[in-house]
Amino acid sequence: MRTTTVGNMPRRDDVIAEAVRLLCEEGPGALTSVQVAAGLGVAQSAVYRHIRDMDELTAIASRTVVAELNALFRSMVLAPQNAWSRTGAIDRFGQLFADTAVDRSTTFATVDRWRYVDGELGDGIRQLLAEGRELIALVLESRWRSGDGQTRPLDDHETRVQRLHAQLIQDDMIAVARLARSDLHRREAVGRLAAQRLRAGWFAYVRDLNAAHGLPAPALGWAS
Amino acid sequence: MTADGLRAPPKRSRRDEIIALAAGILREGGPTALTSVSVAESAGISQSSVYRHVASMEELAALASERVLTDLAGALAAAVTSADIDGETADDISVLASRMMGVMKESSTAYDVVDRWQFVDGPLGEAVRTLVDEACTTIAMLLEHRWRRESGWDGPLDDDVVRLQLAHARSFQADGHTVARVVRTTDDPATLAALTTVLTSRIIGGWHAYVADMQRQTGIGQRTGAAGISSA
Repeated sequence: MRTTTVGNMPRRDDVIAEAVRLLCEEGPGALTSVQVAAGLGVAQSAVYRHIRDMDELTAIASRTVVAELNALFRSMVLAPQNAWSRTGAIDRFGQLFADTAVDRSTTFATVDRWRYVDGELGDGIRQLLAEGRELIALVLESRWRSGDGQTRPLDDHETRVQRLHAQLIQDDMIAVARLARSDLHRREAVGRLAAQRLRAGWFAYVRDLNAAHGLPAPALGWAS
Repeated sequence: MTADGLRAPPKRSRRDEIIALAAGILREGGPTALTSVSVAESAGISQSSVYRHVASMEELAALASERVLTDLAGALAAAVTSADIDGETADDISVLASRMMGVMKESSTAYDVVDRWQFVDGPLGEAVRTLVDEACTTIAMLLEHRWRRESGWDGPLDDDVVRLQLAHARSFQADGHTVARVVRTTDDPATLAALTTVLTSRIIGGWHAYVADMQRQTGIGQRTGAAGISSA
């Protein structure tokens, strides 16, 4: 996609759009100033007229793609047809997750690649992941409450437990997405695994919250 | 000088020494501490002399990572396979979880190596990924060992099942990395207590997910105990 240029001089937005395109279409390895310049049809030096350095551009572009993925998951998780009370919802969601992991494989690769680097690049990705965890925690809590009709607010320990479960579920799904990127696994197999891991995560979470509330351990609902 | 006038290749032992020093630096201070300056200093040689023994810092980092991660794998395997816990009850799993967390605390820099270098390009990333993959294979083996004990199955497993098993092992591994990350960033006893609880439940949940998948894929049911850890 060639973007609008004025007198062959790209605007800052063009540079960012091209970086986002490279990240989406080709993944983190493709995001270099050479590639960005080539994509815009300008000299490499023109790229640096609008950005400080590649770190800045990478930070902006990766935040954009990860934020998009966050928004996508938010709509997936909160969609009524994916409510867990519905039969087969976890299986459907697992497959949906696997398909998304394949379609957005470059975004998951972006997360893996830069999540732990120092500076604004890593900070930006970590912050978006934290937002994702908030969503997971919220969904866990509301579903647990609707299942057992619990209205008591969570105490500090339970809040901690919940936050840790959300984090483990998120990292687990990132690991599943990594599988989806490897060519060893078919989409359906990854979808089944994602569903199975979500069941495991849900079971573990309910087990801990129930224990904290003096409720019996949950049944193992493993049947697909 | 050798007899034919060529310079002898750098002595193997000196190279090994440099790698061991680099591994020590990595263990002490993590990935950011490992530089040609720090290696030269601890070896008592000039910075440029470091490169007489290794081609690049990347090579050295890969070799040092290998040692550090191999040690971690050994410590974890020892914690997981200790003879005094057989994993039959939730209490056993809880002991297992806190032992693993102990190892994670001890080896926090090794986990930093994984987080920092696992997905970089080139030989360093490849070396780290290879070791992470090996650890995953070990987890898969431990799962299989236990599953066979409980199911009584002594036949071979086909490729699909082996792949599925490895995928479950990856999730166990991902849990481990997440827990290790929390362990090394906090000393708050309340968080660590919550974490032990959470890890215990994740291991139990993960085990049942794995067993259910194995059963679906092979048609082989459990003979004994797996229910033991859920009802406790």
